[in-house]
Amino acid sequence: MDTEKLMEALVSIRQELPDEINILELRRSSVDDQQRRLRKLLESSGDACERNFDRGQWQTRDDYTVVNLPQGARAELFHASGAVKLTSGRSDMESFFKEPEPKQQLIKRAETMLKTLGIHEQLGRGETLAFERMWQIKACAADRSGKASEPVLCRAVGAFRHQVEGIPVLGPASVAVQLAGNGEFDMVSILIRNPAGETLDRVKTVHPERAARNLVQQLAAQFGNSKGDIQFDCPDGMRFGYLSLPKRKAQRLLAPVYMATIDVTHEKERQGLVLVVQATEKSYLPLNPPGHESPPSISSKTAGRRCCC
Amino acid sequence: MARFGVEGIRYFNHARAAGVSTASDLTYTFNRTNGFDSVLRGAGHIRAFYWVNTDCWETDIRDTDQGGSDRSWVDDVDLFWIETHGNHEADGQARMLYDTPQTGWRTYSGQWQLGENWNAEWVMAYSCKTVDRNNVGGLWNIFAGLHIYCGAWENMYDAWTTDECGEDVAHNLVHGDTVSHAWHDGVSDWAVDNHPITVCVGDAATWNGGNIRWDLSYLNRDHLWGHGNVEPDLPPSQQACILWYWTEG
Repeated sequence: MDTEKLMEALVSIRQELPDEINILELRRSSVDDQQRRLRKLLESSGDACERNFDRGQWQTRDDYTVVNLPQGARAELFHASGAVKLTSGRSDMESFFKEPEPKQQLIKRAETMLKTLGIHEQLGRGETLAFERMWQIKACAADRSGKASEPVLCRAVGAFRHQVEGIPVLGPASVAVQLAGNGEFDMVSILIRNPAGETLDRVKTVHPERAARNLVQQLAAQFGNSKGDIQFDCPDGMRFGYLSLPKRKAQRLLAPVYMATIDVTHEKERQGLVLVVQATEKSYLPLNPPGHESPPSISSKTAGRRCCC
Repeated sequence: MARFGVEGIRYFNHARAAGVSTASDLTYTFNRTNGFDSVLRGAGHIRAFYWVNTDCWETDIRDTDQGGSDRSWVDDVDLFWIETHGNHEADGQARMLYDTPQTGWRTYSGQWQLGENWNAEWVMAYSCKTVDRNNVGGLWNIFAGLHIYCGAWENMYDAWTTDECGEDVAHNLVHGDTVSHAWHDGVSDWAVDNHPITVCVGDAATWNGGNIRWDLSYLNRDHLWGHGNVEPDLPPSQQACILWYWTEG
């Protein structure tokens, strides 16, 4: 591993880093509260796509609520985080963009839809949403002779990042707005963890170089016993921000981390990793939990074959 | 209801020890495979097999005519999920790594032929770069009745941020999304650099002289058994085009 080159890439942070940062308690909301917010979103999105989302079949399960809406539309609410996804029910392979559109135009369309859906109303004081990335979903085909059709732009997905006091909340996109042709609404997913307003702690942030060293140590632990040429790339460097866990996980507070996306090239295989390290001396969140093991009930394939021979 | 099979490889110590690959162990393989398995079984679907680590063999997907045993495993289920390291060959074949040589350490999609007289409709590979977007036709031979191959044309990330992907894909499937949409939406959180792609074949009506009828394609019409329409198999003699649908950004 070329540690020096990787360290250089990791510390090339394009953000201004605060010397100190607040550890923020997160707002806890009951399932009833979450469902009330979802009803409000259904109202605004119904208006946006000229559908009536007032009537739906609500089913509340242990960990999520699903609402089956007219014309195949569907809303889901994940109780652990309050995350919401609403899909229009439109067929995947229709309502394409008539022609490719410049990225700026797609961003503008996504920002307009964000406003129409009233998502900013979910933000508290000191909270903002900033555009982060434009994804495009395309399709193409070829015949037996290899003659290919022109690619078509099927959907555009604008991803937005929740920021608290100017600090991004890293993790899955905070809001993703999926648009069909003509900028029509197709899907929105929201994972915004709002602070409750209470500061639990104010702490110094760890210097990026120290964080980068920790990340390199994590990599060395994972790849230490591999022999041969392995190339590590981190084209975007580390990012600094609060961390939001995925939608099925409850979370009590916002604490800062450094995060890095690492691409690993082996002679024959490729690997992608997202590494996280705390940006404070004290540990506030359970980072990098060990992965699950396979279910214990699974029997061995060879044992099965032995038994049947 | 569907019959499904799962293979997940988290540890690659045997492959490394044999000098076959330098790839490291994965961390969240079983978060994804367990999530996928549990949601599907919870919805009443039948798990035919769930092999892990050295119980996953390259012969499980290799065609019976080519010395494999796909008719007992991958080609014996409607839906197959695999997670391992991957990449592709220069000619567009998918390639995936195993942790035991049974009889090879890797599988090459040139030796797959799925769907034939058997069952396979959908294969989902949470694995890096198994599709070459510049040569998708390199996968054509795998569609001997198979409807859709769900894979990636770039890296697929192993991270605590992607540990719910298996559960998400299965959740989408059992709530009536198309198979193609379930894959794209389930493995994307619109932040991590996952680059999903779904590939299928179509008939002459779908190719329509190059003016593609996307609405007729498996990508638009196939759902998991029990959750919507499933199109009939399309034998190789009726296949006029290959179609692919990908996320970039």
